[in-house]
Amino acid sequence: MPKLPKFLQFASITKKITLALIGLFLMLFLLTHLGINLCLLRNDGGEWFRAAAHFMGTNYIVKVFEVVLFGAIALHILLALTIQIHNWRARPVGYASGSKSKTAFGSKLMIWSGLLVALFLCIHLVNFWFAKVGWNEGRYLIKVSAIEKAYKVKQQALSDAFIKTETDEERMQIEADFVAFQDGLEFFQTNEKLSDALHGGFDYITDLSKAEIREITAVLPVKYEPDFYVMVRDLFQNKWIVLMYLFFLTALCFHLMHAFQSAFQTLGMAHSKYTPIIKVVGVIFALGVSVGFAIIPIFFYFCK
Amino acid sequence: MNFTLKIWRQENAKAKGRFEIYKITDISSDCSFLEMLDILNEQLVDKIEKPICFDHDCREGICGMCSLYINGRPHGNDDDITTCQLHMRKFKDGQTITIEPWRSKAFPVIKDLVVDRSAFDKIIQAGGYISATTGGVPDGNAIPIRKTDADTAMDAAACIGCGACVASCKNASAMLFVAAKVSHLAHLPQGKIEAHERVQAMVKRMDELGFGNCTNTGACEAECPKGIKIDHIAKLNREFIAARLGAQLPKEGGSVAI
Repeated sequence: MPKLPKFLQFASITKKITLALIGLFLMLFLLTHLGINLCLLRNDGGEWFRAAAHFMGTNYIVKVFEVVLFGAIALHILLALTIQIHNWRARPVGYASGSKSKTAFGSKLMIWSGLLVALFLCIHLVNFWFAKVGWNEGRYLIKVSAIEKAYKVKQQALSDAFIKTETDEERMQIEADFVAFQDGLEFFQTNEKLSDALHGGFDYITDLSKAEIREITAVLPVKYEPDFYVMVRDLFQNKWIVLMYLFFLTALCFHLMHAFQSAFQTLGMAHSKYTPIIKVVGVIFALGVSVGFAIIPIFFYFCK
Repeated sequence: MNFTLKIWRQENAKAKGRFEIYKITDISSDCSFLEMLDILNEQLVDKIEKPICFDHDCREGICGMCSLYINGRPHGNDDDITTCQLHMRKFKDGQTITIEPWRSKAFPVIKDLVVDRSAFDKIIQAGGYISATTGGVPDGNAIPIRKTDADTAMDAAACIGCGACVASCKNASAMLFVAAKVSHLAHLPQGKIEAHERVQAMVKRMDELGFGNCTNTGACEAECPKGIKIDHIAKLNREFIAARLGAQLPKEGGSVAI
């Protein structure tokens, strides 16, 4: 193996400590994610969940953390692989008889459960995040208030331009623009989904396809967001996707079972009073997080 | 008692090894594991075959010389013992027993079941000691030491350096060994003086020698013949963090990885 430059030659314990710290950070992320996802279970047509998704999608601090999160995940995987390869090389010739030593539950599976979680992450990103970025077809929503705002802005812009006009030609041009704009707005009345939402007093126009978004934005430059609620609902109608999510969540559970208490041990926090508590909390955390996430596909498959 | 033995034979460090099968009969259940191998070796010598090489010395569980990975466990299927303290009554009559050397990149096989464990000596040389000036013998109780600290240090000092921790670890990591040495000295006032330098130097040497990393699986503490706990590994990690965060950058010659 080529020798790494000096500043990259971290001591084994430094690597482990970094891995543990990132792991604990990722556990906090999982809790946040779970908290938002559990809003899906509320019987409100996705109101709470959409509000939470809107906050997570638009808040600037969250946007910064999104970059930090992706960086942390990449570093966690990279460090784990580096450490694992080093570990495999530490025993070039293995034993003929399998190990019968007593070991901590899940500890020997960390690399495999971790790789499964990484694979799950990729699939999960394709399912949801790709639609947000626009690489994948997803479902989208537009806030009614955003349409009203965009309408006012457009109208104001046209009337401002009208006041500034000097020649008849310019005036005619603006008038023609205004007529075209009004004609375009007809679309909002004729389209069933849009008129229902506009006259029904809803906050959102939901379940829009990319093509519909294109038609709307051609008339009014209005902001749109991914409609994760509809995407979740549609995705979890598929039995195989539900089973796949449950399988990967089991891998996550195994990973977390060892990860929680192991992170504290790596950070040097072993204490006769607190370590037993940490171990119990770790099991509760692992089960709580994975069962909490697992409820959602099951709920949507059977109840929606 | 009768046994079928599946033993690793390897001419020298460079030769390719293989398993050989031996049958041994009429072994007393009170026979120790190493005595059983002695009997086998006498039979081999009688047949003008090469005897099996294995490490042993005191045969009372304190020297740390005996090794052997027996049926998937270093020092065999019993807790808190070395191979020399293992008795044949722990096995079933007619059982097949697989005997392998410690397997680790840092512990190369020298011959048959004998491995070179001088990597441990190199780690000790890097800092597993205290610098003491010569002179008169100081009074035993001149420095007060809390009882719990003295006991913890003594628990760690029980390490005989046999290498069972490395042998049992899925990563062939020497963390429990290094932890025992670091924790032993870090709990005592005499050892605290050089604590920062010691932990960094010993970990650096451990990494260089090709031992793996710690996954906190606990196989080492399950197999340690002296029952040293992985709490000492947490202490090693604490010492390492304190040294890295707290120690000044070393000047010439003593540079360490971040």
